[in-house]
Parts: sequence; C-alpha cells; structure tokens
Amino acid sequence: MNLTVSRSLSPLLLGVAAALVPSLSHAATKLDVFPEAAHLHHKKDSQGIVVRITKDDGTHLDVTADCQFSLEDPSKAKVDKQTILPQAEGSTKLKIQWQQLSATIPVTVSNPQLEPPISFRNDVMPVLMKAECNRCHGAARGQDGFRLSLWGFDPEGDHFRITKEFPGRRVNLAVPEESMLLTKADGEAPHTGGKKFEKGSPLYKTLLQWLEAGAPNDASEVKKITGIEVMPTSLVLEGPGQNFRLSVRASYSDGSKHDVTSTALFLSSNEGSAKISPEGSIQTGQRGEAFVMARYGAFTVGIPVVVLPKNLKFDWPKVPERNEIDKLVHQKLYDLRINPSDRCDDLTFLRRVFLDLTGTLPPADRVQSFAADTNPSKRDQLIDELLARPEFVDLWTLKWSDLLQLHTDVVKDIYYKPIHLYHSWIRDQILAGVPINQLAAKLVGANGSIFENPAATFYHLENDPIRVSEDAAQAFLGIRLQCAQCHNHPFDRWTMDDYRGFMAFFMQVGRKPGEDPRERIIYDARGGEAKHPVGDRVVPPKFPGGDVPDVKEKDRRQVLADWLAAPDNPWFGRHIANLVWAHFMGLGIVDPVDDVRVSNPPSNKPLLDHLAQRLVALNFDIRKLAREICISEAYQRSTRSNPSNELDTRNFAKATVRRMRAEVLLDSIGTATAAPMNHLAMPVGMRAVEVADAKKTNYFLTTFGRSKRENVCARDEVSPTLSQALHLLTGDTIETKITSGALVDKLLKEGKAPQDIVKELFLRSVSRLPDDQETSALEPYFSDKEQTKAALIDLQWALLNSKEFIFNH
Amino acid sequence: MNRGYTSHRPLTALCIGLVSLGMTFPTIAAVPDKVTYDDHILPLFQNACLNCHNPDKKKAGLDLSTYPATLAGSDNGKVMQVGDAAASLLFKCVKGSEEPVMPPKGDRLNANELALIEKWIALRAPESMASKGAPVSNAVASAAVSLERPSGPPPMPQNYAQQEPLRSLTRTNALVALAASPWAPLTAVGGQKQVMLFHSDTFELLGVLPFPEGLPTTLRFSRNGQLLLAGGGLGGKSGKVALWKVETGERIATIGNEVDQVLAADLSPNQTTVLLGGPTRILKFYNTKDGKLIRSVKKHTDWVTAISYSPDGAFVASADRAGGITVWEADSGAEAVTLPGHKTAVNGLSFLPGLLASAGQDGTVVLWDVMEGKERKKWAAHAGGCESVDFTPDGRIVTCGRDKLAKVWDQNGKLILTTQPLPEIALRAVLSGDSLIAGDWTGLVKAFLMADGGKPVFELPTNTASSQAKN
Repeated sequence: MNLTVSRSLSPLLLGVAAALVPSLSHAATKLDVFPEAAHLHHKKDSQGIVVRITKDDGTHLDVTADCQFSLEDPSKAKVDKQTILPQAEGSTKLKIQWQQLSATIPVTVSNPQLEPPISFRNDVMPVLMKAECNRCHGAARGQDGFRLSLWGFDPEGDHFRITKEFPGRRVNLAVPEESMLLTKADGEAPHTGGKKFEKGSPLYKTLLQWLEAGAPNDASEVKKITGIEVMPTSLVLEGPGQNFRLSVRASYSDGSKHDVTSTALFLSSNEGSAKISPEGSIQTGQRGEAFVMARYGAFTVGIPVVVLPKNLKFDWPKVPERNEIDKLVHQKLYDLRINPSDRCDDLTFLRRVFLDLTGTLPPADRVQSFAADTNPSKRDQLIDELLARPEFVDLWTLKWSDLLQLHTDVVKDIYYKPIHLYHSWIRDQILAGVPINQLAAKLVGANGSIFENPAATFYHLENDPIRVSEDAAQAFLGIRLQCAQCHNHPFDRWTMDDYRGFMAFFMQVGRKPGEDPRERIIYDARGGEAKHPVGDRVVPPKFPGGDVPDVKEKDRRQVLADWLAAPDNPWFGRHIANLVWAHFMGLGIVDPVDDVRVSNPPSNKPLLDHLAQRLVALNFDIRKLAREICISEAYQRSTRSNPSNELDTRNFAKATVRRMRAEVLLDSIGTATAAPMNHLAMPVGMRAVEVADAKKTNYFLTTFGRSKRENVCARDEVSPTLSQALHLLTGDTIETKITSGALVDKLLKEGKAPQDIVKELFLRSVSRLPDDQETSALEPYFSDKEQTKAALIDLQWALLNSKEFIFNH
Repeated sequence: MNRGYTSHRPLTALCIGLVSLGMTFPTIAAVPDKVTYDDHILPLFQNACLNCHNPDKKKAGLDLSTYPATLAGSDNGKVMQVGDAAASLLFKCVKGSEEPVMPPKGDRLNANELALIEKWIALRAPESMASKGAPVSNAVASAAVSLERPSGPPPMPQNYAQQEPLRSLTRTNALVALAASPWAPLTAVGGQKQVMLFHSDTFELLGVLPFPEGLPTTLRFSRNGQLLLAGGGLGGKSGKVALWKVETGERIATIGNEVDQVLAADLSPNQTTVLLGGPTRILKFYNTKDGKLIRSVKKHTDWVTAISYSPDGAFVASADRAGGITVWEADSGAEAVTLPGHKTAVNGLSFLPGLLASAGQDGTVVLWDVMEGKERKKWAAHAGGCESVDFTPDGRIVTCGRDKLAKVWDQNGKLILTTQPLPEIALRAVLSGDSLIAGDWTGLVKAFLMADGGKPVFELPTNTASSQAKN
C-alpha cells in the first residue's frame, strides 16, 4: 500500500526535487575508480578513467567529468580529458577527488618513447569489428563478393582477402586514400552497408596508417588478445537522461593490458532503457533492464544494467529467505526495485508441487488432509514425499525422452522394441538416481547392441553425424550449433571450426545390423573425419569453445563423454541446472533453455552460477536440486502480481501460470473423472506420461502440443490454440472420460448429497473446495431431483473446461 | 493541409535565397540534374562566347548561337565529344587546359559555369528539357578482320600530348593491367588513373594516356594494333571503357556507364563491339560507334573476371570468379558452349582461332578446343594460382602466378622459360618480341629477355615523374 501511494505521488515529487535540489537527493557513500591501476606501455598508449559513485540507495552515478585528478609525480604521466597519458618511465600515483570522497590508483609507465609498428591483428582487426565490416562480410559467402571472417576469427585469412585475394581492387597502396576498403566505408563509394565512419575519424586514420605502411601482415610473434573486461561490471542507474561511460580493457598474451574502449564495439539488448553510443557511453531511458555488451577481438563481455525512474520511492519489506536461491533472486529484485509477490496458499502450493514433481493432481482426500495439517514444515515434508514417488521418475523419464527424441520411424527402421528398451533404460537410470552427468556420458559414449545396451540407441535414432552433433550440443549443452554448419554463428561465438570440431567426435560411430532385424550394433569405427567446407581440410575433434583433446588411439566419443561429465565442464552443469529450474519455474534463467549464447544472457547470472555450483556439489542429483528449488520462497510464490512486479516476466518475482503439458492434462482429466486409463492402445492403467514412443499419439495429445520428438528443440508446446479450446468444449475427450468414469452416477448411488458431490468434483479437479459464492450459485440446480444428475455432470464438464483446471498456477 | 503546403513554398524559396546570399566563401552552386542548351548553355554562351562565335562572325568556323550549329563544330571538326567533357575541345578551351584558351579576352568562365558545361556534355548535350541529347558518334572505324600481320609499319605512339606520368607517387600498387601490342614493340602498363606506353625493346616511356575514370584494370590492343582499350573505374562506384588511337593518343570513345569497376573487357577484331563485365556479373555488349548497349547477358554467377575475343572475330569468351567459362557467338551473342573445368576463379583468358587458354586460381592453365567444347590440354602452371595467361601472335603462351614466377610455354604445355622470381605474387605477364614483361603485387614491373634465360634486365619506371628509364 505504501508503495502505491508513493508511486502516484512520485511525478509530483520529482518535479519539486528537480527544481529545488539539482544535485544528489541521496547521499553518496562510495567512490570507485576504474581501472584499479593504470599501466601505460608505449608512447601512444593511454588509459581512460571512469569514476563511479554509489549512492545510499544503491544507484550509481558517473562523476568522472566532475573529478579533480592530481598526479603525485607529474613528470611521469599527465591527465588530459580524464585520460592518463605517458610522460616518462617510472611509476606514480593518481589521486581522484570528488567532493568529500577520494581514491588513489597506481600508475606505471614503461617505454614512453616506443612507437610500436601498426599491427594488423591488434590495430586493424578491431576497426573491422568496430565498423562492423566483419558482420555482413562475415557471412560464409561474404557480402557483395567480399568476405571477411565473422567477427574476425581468422585474421590471417582476412589479411589475405583484403590485400591479395583480388589484387588491385580492395587496397590501393599507391594512393591509400583511394582504396576501396576506405571509400566504401567512408561513404565515398556506394556501399550496401552504408557509411561506417567519417573520413578522418580515428577508425579511418588507423586503416589509412596501415595502408600507408604497405598493408603489412603481422610478424608471427605478435601478442594475442587473451580476454577483455568491461568496467564497471554492473550498474544500477536512474533514468531517463543519465550518462555512464564504460571502460573496456583487453589483456594480451605478453601480460600487458590496454584500454581499448575507443575501438570496442558496443551493443545493448534494450536500447529503450540503456542506449549505448559507439564511444561506449550509456544513456539511460525508461525503467528496465539491459545487457550491455562490448565486443573486442574474439571476446564479447556484457554487463547487466538496471535503469530506475529518478527518485523512486521504494520499500523493501522483510521478505523471508529460505536459502541462497532466495537471496540471489531478491538481490536482483531489489536492484530492480521490485517487490516479490506473497507466498501462495497451501492448496495452491499442494496442487503446484504435485503437478511439478509428479505430473499428477493431488487426490481429493489429500487436499483436505493437507489443508487441515498444522505442521509448520508440512510443505517440506510433502516435497520430500513427492520426490520419492515413482511418478517423479516417470515425469523426468518423459522429459529426457523428449530431449532424446524417442520415437519409432518405419522409414528409418526404428522399431518399437528398441524404443521401449531405451525408455526403460532411461527410467531405470533416473529411478536408481544415476547422476545426470553420468547418464549423459553413458549415452554419448555408448557402444554395443542396442538391445543389450539401450543407451546406444542414441546413435540408432540418428545416423547423420551432422544431426547427431547438433542434437547432442543442444540436448546436453543447450547450445545451438546449427547455424555454424554453413557459416559462423551470427549471434554467437561459434565458428565453423567449432561446429566441425564438435562434429568430429561423432564421425567414427560404426553401425552394423544385429541378429534381430530391429537390432543395431554401435561400435567405435576408428575412422572418419570432419572436413571443413571451406578448403576441405580435416578438422580435429575440439570441445566447443575449448581445447583440442588428444584422441589418438581413443574412442572419440568416450573422450567427449568424459569431458561432458567432468564437474568443471563449462556448459553441461549450467544447462541442466537451468533446465531443472525452468521445469519448476516455468521459465529458464536462460530462456529458451536450449539457446545458450552470448547475446542471450541469463536474467540472473549469480543465480544460474549458484544453481550450477549446487548441481555439481550435489553430485548431479537432480532430485536434490529440485528439492532446493521447491523449498525456496521463489518457488512458493503466488501467481498474483503486485504493482511493482506486474510488468516483470523474467525475474521470478511471482509464480508463472503454466498450461499443463499435453500428457499431464490428459492424465489429469482421467483422474478427475475417475475414468480408467486406457488410451493409445497401451496397457490399461498406463498414464500418457509413461508412453515410450512419440508416434503413439491421439488427437488430444497432438492438439495440445505433445512433442513429436522429431528434432531436439521440439519441446512440448504449451501455447494455447483455438483447436485446443474447441476440443475441450466440444470434442469427445472430456465427454468420453466423464461417461466412462461415471463418477457422478457412482457417488449418487452411494447416496451422497449433491452438495458433497460438488465438493468431491472440486477437490478432484481444481484441488480446493467450492467457495460460498460457488456453492450458493449451484444450489438452485439441486431443487429438482430429476435435474440433479445432469447438473452435476454439467458441473464436471465446466470444471474441466476452466482455466483453473487446465493451468498449473 | 493543401493550403499550408502552397503557402510554404514561397517562404522556402526565400529562405534558400537568404542562405545563398549569406555564404561568403566561393562555392559551386548546385548544378541542376538536367542541363540543357536552351535553358542553361545558350544564356551562358550569349554572355561569354557569341560575340565571336555567332552566325555572322563565325570565328574559326564555329557558331554557338544555335544547337545544330554547336554540334556541327568548327573548321577543325567537332568541338564536343558528347558524353565526355574531358575529351571535348570546347570544354578544354574554356577550362584552359588546351590552347586556344577561351574566351581569349575578358573574364574566364567561373567554376559554376564550367560545371554546367561539363555536366551538359556529360549528359550528351541535350537541347531542351524534352530531348535526350545528341547521338554519340565515336570515330571508331570498322576494321577488316585478318589473321595476317597488317602490312606497313605497326602503329607506335607519335608525339603524345602527355609525355610524363600524370601523378607522381612515392609508392606503387599491384600491377593489374598490362598488354602488349600484337605487332609493334609496344607495352601498355596500367597506372593510377593513367596508362603508360613503353617501348618493348628500349623500355622508353613513349606517352601517357589519362584515364580519369579511375584505375585501369584491363588493357587490350585491337587485333590490328591500331587501338588500345582500357577498362576500369572506381571500385564499387563506376566503370568505363576507353578507346584510344595508339598513334596519336587521341581518345576516340568512352563506353559504358557501369556502377562498379569494369574488371574485364575486349574489343571485337572488327572494332564494332566492346564486351565488358565486372562485379555486377552481367556481360554487356556495346556498339563502339554510338556507345549504345546492344545487349546484356545474365549468365555468370560471380564476378566476370576475364573476356577475350577470338582473333577471327567469330567468338568471344567470358569467365568468372566461380570458375565458369562461356563462349559466345560474337555477332549474335548466342551462347556457343560452356567450358566446365575450373572449380575456382578463372583469372585470365586468351584466344587463338579455335583455341582458348584459361588461367585458373587452381593453378592450372587449360587449353580448350572451342569447336568441340572440350579440354585439349591442362597443366599445373603456378602453385597457389595462375593469375594471367596470354597467347603471343606466334602461338606461345605466357603465364604468371602466385608462385611469383612468369613462364613461357608451348601449346603442349612444355616449359620454354621460367623467369627469376619477382618479389611478390606475379599478376600479369606479356611477351612483346623478345621481351617478357611482368608485374607483381607490389607494382614492380620487370622486363626479362627471352634470350637471357629469364634474368631480369630492366625495371620499368611506372611510377615516377621521370620518364627516363633507369638502368
């Protein structure tokens, strides 16, 4: 309440504050200088300074321009336009003073007379990146006949293509300023990509200097970029109209670090909230979150930026925190000035946790006993109970079956028997609590008969190494390598080398028929290489974004399996942790969960880091991770929003309303109507969740988006369609279930009063008792005994059509 | 809305007037999109020229008072080469780049007036807003096609207007345009917005042909050695082909109006047609006489990199950066045959009657039997890529490539000579008499004597102001 009042007043307050107090309305409590130390390595080197103030409400301010800089020894260096420039060899200290706050950073200068020769890799390539030349021309076939490597991953090739691929066209070393490399970029000649920089600009001058030097390639011993850092690493700013300059520093193989802010390329995920200028200055806009990235060399690093309205009044009530998950979620919510929703009531929790952990609705009597239970730790007890249920195993077997695409295919000779064995094998693994990294390793490294080692079916479902490697990357790492098959990934770091290097692990899968026509034997063929489509060279196996391992005399897939299962694998644990989180929260921290990439950052990186660490610490036991998630306040929130979080969708301030997935919905209609489970020509009693083969389906499941499992990203589709609504209203599923269950009949025959039957129907479907309004609204229908049965069946039908039933909330 | 619009217009005009009055620095006012004789040029002539060049005085036989009389020219012939101001006497005289400078007395034309005339000629001198401009009539004579050596002394440059390189530069760029006259001891070398003609035996610079259109990327002598063709332009911006008379250095035609550099071009042996191509992938046949486009053909899937007419004039071949080669019937433009074989770029083509040589980025030279549409001979010529191939009139083959070498072969692929390596990738090589002349990526052009076993004997001064050969 407090919050609403202050919000409605805030425009007024804002006006007053702006008129009377032009400076800070909050006290500045902390001054930080970036970088923490300055090193200047040659005559042309410089280091820009960024000074950040943290106010007592946690918001930041760039005060660099208002600071006083004083050098202890002015003979060593000087400060011009907030930039340190070298003067003489030696070291000194720079004092930065802003009002009452001050800080000191060390400054060292070496080789102040040295003028390093222009370097293609370290000077020219960054220009091609900053001007975004290698974005369009980075396409696999180039652009308008000219190709560069995407984001400059191949400087050697780029040097060749600029200078010698088509001699006489791109560079003119006799008259450098007439080089097409410049005339296209500075607007002199028409350019599909438009004007990229001004004639005479620093970028232009760098290219011109290189051309005037004869467009040299680097000597082989040139230092390499080993990483970049963006400073500060996170920001909470007020908006609109505030500026904050970022500083980007690159580290090199010779141990040096250089300020590369002027040649880094900046991008913002949300220009409306945080616009970033080409020079690296953030300008704040509307309230919101942005991920601001700097790209330099092969590296992209982003920082989260939160933008808040000026002088926002905000109260942070004492919200209980159950574990580290809550702490990290709350930290983010506090930064955003968002209050979490309240805890959901017991019955909502009961229904939610039943659906999420077991894929079933709570039985009617369980609803009542849980409501009556006064034990304060009853929620924890319920979670522990459900985690031990076989239905938990069934639900995760279903999820893995989706991910691994279990389906028969007559064209590809994939029969039901191996699918059934494969499904049972997955279920056995989950039942036995095999750590999920071991499960993945068993699949990737599988050899032998698919009848004896069903894990090997992984290689029977797909023969094409292209598809196998793409599927494995997406299923186990959450990475979509697909793009990098034909060209380097346009929105990520993946190159064709990464793609072929990953594919190389799957090039030596041997497949031969077994005795049974349905059987296959998978073995390590020890032959077969991945070829790069450009130049046809052999690409050795390479972990995505990582090393080239020694695979000599080894089963390549076993090498990959070991890497995958290693606790320090950079992708696997995070991906699985995110997958588990998304299952319970309805949304990944990285979302979609199978699209991990630089430009799709996690909404809460510390939280994802934590979950991944926990998964490793818990020895990859998803049950234990699920427990940590389910006991958190973050999981147990109400779906109802408050004024501060109604627009937020990504930060887990409230619970997400989710439609039940197709199989669970069908099973739930069954249990709600007490109809016997006899669908899909499967044994009676088998739930839809337990069906092994995606080819066994019916109209209901297909309409409600059951995964066909024909490709790895075919998740169960839960977005609503008209045919779903129509099918529930007029289709035969509910009708048949009500008839075959004959629940109303049975209860009437038992002599139950209509009012009690209403309660039963409510408990079975929406896991609660009818409220007074509902009870009284139904009353008139029971006055005529003739009508009672029909009215109850209508009620049953209406309940099953209600959103409250169809959704997990 | 309507009212607001009309009432704004006078105001805008006034504003523009004020702005231009307010400018104190000399500037060229915007030249209109279309400049015509009636609207712009006649008023200008009236002020500056008609005192002498009127129907009564008709100084030097030139009357500029009417449109037809202006086109008719003076006692010395036409005063305009429509479409090409730089080559038009009228423009050169008023600009002062050629005698007699006009007007002889009084104020010279200002920059704005010069710009008007230049544009008017460039637009082919239209008479009025409704007219399209005067027809072009290039002084390109048709030639009789013969495979024999023409009788009489072969044409050599005589007293060119331009004797020194137009641009004095301290650096050189990759040598991409080079041609040898089939009959005369004459080598043409492409430079920065110019073409230099050297004596192939003495290596003396005989003259320079300006090519203000940009960088020449291809040079070809006509079959009879009378004409020189240069194709080129500004990368990504414009492309032209120029034709000169070798003897006088007179530019007789400027052909094409391309949106990117011309990368390949050749003149038909009967001199009626120029075929050109470049990054647009489209082949364009132009009539040399009126400069009109005869046809354009979309066939190549990548940049057109090489074009060559057969000496008998029956065929013309074109090749592209993706390895495609197509032979066309020269007259009809109909496709005769495609020659598959190169998987990567074709860098050069050269024709003998019935026999086509291609140079590939794959390092090979292929001889094609054009009538059969088959490979007759193929050999690895240059590791890393063969950059150019040229037949000498006597049927030998000169190649060069990324191995920095130039080589001479017979038609069986037998190596006759290998030069010493050039400092960088050897891009073009020709054989003119006994001199093998080759240029590389650094722009160095060296001469080797066949008799001398491939040792360099000379370095052609392609880039200095001095025309003196240095030994």
